[in-house]
Amino acid sequence: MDVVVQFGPQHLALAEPERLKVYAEGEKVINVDITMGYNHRGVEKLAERKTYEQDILLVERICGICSMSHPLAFTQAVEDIAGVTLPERAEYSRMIIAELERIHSHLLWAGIAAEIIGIETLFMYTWRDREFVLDQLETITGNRNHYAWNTVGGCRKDITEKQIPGLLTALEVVERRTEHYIDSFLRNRTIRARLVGTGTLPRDDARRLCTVGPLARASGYAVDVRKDDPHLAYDRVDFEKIVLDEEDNMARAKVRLLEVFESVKIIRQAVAALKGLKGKEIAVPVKEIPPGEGVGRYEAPRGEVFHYVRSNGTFYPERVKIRAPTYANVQAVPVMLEGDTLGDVPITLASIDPCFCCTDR
Amino acid sequence: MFKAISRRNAVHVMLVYAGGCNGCDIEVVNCVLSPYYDIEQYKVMLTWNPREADILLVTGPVLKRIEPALKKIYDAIPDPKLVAAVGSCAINGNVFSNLGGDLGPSEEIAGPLDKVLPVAAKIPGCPPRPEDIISAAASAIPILAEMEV
Amino acid sequence: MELEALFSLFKKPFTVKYPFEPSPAPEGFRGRTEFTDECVGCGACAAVCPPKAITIVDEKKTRTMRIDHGLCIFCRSCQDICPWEGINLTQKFEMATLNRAESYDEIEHDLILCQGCGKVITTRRHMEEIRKKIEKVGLLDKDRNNIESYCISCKKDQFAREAIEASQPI
Repeated sequence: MDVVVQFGPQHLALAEPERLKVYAEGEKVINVDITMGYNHRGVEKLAERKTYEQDILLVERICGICSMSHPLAFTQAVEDIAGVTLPERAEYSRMIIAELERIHSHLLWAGIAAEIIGIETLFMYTWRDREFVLDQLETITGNRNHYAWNTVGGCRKDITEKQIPGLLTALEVVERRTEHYIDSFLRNRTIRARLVGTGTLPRDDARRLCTVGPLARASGYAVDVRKDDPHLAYDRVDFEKIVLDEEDNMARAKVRLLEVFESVKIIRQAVAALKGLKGKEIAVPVKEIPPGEGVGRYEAPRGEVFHYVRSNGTFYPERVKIRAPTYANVQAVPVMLEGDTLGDVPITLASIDPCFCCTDR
Repeated sequence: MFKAISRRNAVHVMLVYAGGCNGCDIEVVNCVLSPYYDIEQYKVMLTWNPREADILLVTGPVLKRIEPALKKIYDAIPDPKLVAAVGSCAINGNVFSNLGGDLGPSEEIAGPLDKVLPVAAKIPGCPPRPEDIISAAASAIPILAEMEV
Repeated sequence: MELEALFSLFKKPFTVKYPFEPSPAPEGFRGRTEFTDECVGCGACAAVCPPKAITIVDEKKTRTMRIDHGLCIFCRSCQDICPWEGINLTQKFEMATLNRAESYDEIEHDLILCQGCGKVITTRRHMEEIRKKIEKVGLLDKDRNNIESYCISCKKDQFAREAIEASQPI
């Protein structure tokens, strides 16, 4: 006999409002229905009634964790229309903030996953080390979550010489601690029991469902906008695309934690490059946005963020379309959960690192 | 009387996510649970169960789809209770509230929290620093202790 | 992880004792927005503010500019746009309040009204700054000392009238 388990819009197991209807036979999950849209704020429509500069701050408030990725993709779309070439210093400093955001997002995910599994100690450790990154972001940009870093044609603020030593020390701490977390994830028996072999997403399904980000890369489907469509200074720094083909929850955890190392590597190279660009300009003035269409893509911590902007030559965009990574990834959840037990639902859902406020906008 | 004594020893805070951007939520969870801020050291606990909560923290601009659920949660909290609006979304609607220009007020948003529930404390910021949330909790607890059932 | 937990027993706690210990915001932190004495009341900040947190109310001969800290998103747009350094984001952050009336910052300015139609031209300090700038460039017409007494449409009317009078044959 079928059992239907409802995880309501407000539920203990879910941080954000969305609705899960899990059809189960005994303990086995047969199918999952996901209802979204509880968080729709009408950002795309609002964006049409604000100027481009205000829109950057509006799309920043789509999500508090990807709050660098959305403005970055939006400004890239607008710069695409205006045909602006960024100054090199702006490219590197944008990259530093974006990669710091990736580190704090992945550490946050590791903490949440540990808490869902039931190991609160690991949650405490990861969130403690996340504070080092957040402190750096606060010192550099002026706020812990919303950085207000981008403007059309460059950055609004510069990374000063005084901030760099603190940044490098924080990176060292994060690197050392992440090694420790990988060790815990790989060796701890409880974590292994919950993660290995659950939530399998075969490579063909990952490709068929157009998944993006760490979810796709953990299933052996190598997509990464930073490598596939190099922008900013990503073609000038040396880093690797982490691709694993183990296809389960553990692979996703590994991909995320290994990506922290790559981000650290990118930031170190970017900081070294900034030293060579001392005193250079951080923004080019953009006088007007001509009529036209533009596209911005960026690899957010959760996958590819896609922004489309159409301009009609006025101060306001005519149309803004946003595709968030979770929108692509959440389609894979029914496939991942099929055949698993009910107890695996929270951790498998968390393993795609869902961000429903990005998705619903 | 029994309740007043117990509340002096521990205050339970419930967090409701009413359509914000995750920024404030993570800061609230960060300042209650994480080891850096940890207001559990001052006997403020985070709970996800309205039946044991004393203070309701609401983040986000209160969307129309969430409004009925939010009212149900508020009714489920036993008296006396306090509501605190965290972040400028909950206080006034932030960038989402108004100003669709000729579009008028947004159709998705039931308005700032004031219109839905009686709000006692307001914590401005986008998102507020965890220190802000701690100081708000510190100022709200004496009021809660004096409230009669 | 087990060893880590054991070692932690002998370390100093990582937790801050915040309300009893200060936890200052770093330099460059975007905190409470405040008007400074340099403000001339031109209203550029109100135009650029994404959530419209800065409002301008003109009443009789005073302009009240008010920033609502409950609505402010601390984005620094106003500070970036202000040509007079009249608005600043300070490092203050303890703004939580039980009373809404506390969370405002206001500044008042005298207004100049048009002598012709009574419309608002701009604030007195803004006009003084503009006059200084024009004088620096050397564009100020010595004969016309009344640039501040008429609004643009009245000035156009006046100019047209003078031109007609001048062109009329005596």
